[in-house]
Amino acid sequence: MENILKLFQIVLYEIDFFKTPFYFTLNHSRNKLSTRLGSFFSFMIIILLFYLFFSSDMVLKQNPAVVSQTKTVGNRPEFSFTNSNFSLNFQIFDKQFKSYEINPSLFKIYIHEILLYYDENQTIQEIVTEKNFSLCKNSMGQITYCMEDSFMLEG
Amino acid sequence: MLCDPTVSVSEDDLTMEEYFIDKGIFVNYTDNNFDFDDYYNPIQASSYMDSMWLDPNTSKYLNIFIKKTDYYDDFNPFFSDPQLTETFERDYSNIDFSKAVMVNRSSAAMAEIFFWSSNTIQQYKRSYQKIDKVLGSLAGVFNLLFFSVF
Repeated sequence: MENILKLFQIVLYEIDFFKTPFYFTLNHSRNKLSTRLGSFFSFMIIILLFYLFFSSDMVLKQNPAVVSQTKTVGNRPEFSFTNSNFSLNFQIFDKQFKSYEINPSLFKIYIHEILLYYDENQTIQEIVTEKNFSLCKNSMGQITYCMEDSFMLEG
Repeated sequence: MLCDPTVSVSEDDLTMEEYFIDKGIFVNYTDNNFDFDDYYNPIQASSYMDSMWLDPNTSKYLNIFIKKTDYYDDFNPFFSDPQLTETFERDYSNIDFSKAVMVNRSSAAMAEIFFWSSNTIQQYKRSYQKIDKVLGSLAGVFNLLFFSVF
């Protein structure tokens, strides 16, 4: 018990930021005067600093700084779309925005990938590739036309 | 330019014309949204819908522009260490009436929808507070309290 009290006194002594130097020696060869009030204030400051640290934006992972900018480029970037990163589907609707099931006997949807390039005479040529597109169910259970193949997108 | 999904006609014109009176076409495609407050999943795939009214006698064009997006995330608490994720998002779309022409019902397309790569690149940079700023602010508070006592 006595040891615990001594330890507590040591902690109270060490924790006090407001120790006042003096020029004579007290018990235990201490040369600063520590008070219980000073230890109390020091302890409260430590608690406050811990609270401020653990409630900071860094620890809570909130209020990020966000910078947004738009750049205009000469060469349009290329995209490679697959079923994992892009979905594409179509539906027919009327004036009341009621969607209709697609009737394949009335019309068809074709999807083409068209790649443009300059030939040796600097004239624009195009490569047209037909892609597969079929009837499928979307996430809401409606029957739509959906893309099956992957494709490239470029300027 | 990417793809040209074409709604074309077939079978008899009368049935087709009846079917397409006051009808339009929805085009649903993937569009990425950015939720900067979501620490773990800031890039969220969603769906964007463009639409165009159809006319069995006229061919129309819908242009959809997709832009590249460079997303930099910096959540290293000690140093600046941005991680790049390349993705895309919808830029804009328009209906090109200048190219609207009367269609030959037996062969022509009623609607042509073009996806284009946009000539703009969007950049987002998200960074979180670093430990040096946190410790600096704590030191400021400590100094304020410490010297206010003396």
